[in-house]
Amino acid sequence: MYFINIQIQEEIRVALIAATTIFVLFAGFVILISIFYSNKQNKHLKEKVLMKQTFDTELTKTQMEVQEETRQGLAADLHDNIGQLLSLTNVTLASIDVDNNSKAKQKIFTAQDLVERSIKELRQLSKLLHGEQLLQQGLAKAIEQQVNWLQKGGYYTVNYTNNTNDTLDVNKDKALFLYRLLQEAINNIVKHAEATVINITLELVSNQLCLTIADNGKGFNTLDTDITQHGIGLHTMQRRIALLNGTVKVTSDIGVGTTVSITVPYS
Amino acid sequence: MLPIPFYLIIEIFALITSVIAYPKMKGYRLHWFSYFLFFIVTVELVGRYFSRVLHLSNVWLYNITVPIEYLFYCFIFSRYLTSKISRKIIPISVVSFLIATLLSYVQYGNKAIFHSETLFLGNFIIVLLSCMYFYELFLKLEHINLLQEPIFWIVSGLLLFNSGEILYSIVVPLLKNNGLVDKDSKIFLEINNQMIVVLYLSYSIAFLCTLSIFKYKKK
Repeated sequence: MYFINIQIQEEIRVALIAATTIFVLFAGFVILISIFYSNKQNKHLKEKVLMKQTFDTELTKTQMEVQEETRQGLAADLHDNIGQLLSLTNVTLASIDVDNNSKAKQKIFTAQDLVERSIKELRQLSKLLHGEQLLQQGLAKAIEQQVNWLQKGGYYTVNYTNNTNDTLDVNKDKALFLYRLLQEAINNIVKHAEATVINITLELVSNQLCLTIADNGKGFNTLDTDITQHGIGLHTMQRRIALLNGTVKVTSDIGVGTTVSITVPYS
Repeated sequence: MLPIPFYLIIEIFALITSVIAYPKMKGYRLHWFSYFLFFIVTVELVGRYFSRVLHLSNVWLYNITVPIEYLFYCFIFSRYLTSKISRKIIPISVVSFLIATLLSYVQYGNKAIFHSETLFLGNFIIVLLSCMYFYELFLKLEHINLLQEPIFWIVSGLLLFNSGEILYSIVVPLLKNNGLVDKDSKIFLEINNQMIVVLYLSYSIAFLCTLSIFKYKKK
């Protein structure tokens, strides 16, 4: 009887110690899981901060690029149009012979016309200068202004189709990125494409904002990494669009033209 | 009285660290631990004096200490738990714990019997609140270095201690009352003492965490 009692006591003791150990191990497991999860979350938070920093850096870069592009357009316009018009006005006014009344009157009218054209050019230029500020009125409006400027040169037939409604409200940062990408695409067309027609489409499809820029230029081989990675800044475009969780697709056929399709989530 | 057992040395060590870290602990709302640990160490020493010197039962002392101890833990948790469900659980736990304590006194009166039911309920409540703390930790979005969080060490210690004690506090009295274990069995007391070491070491780490010399500095 005493032996059985000792045996039972021993069994109870072992069972209790085992059960207590299981309980403590479970508690330890909960603590370890918490540490593991917390470390993982900290890592995730750090990545998020890094992503935000990258986004902000790219945003600042984009802002500066838009300003630079605007300044370049401004300089070109001042030199090519207003400068020419004012020089012509100067020459016209200098050639006036006050003794020849009828010719002088005609020349004054010509000079007046040239000044009026200069004023008109200046007004259009000031609108271009405010291209960045135009984004505050909306992406569609800013694109419209860019198209007007492009058409003014008379080198291209530009067709702009805006399939979004008036209530389109694109996030300010997103609009800036898209506007800059449009500028970059137009730059590529002007510099390399030798195109005559440019089609720009802005549309909202299944909560995705799609901006398409197509030209009828000479096209290029999309497999040529030298062009895609360096020549047309596609790498930069893709990096920036990735920050907006969007995609950029470039299709091109030699002799047919190039299409750049940018898609970003709307909301 | 002497020699002082290891678990009591650890308790005294926790008290000393809490006193050293007292000014810093105010910022973490943990400075109450200094007073609490002073109380605990005093109780342990008085309890030891009663049993070892006076050869008298010290059960009555622990029957008073246990409710105070667990109510203090509830108070600490109430300062750290923020979720709606936790805010409901804490008052319910306190009320039920007070009722259980009163019922134990009514049931046992002046008999020198340890109120193990009260201890079991306390263990259960603390395990529950500790789990709530870890649950809230999972929901937090801000950057936290857990190993430098004093409350993390305190709650971890409490969870380990109470998980280890919960079986001991409910099963051992039942077994003893039914004569299934030797009344003088020391093994269960050993479990308790080991868990006390874990608990007060966790406290010590928590208090040391508040001191700037133990803070991890980014290079």
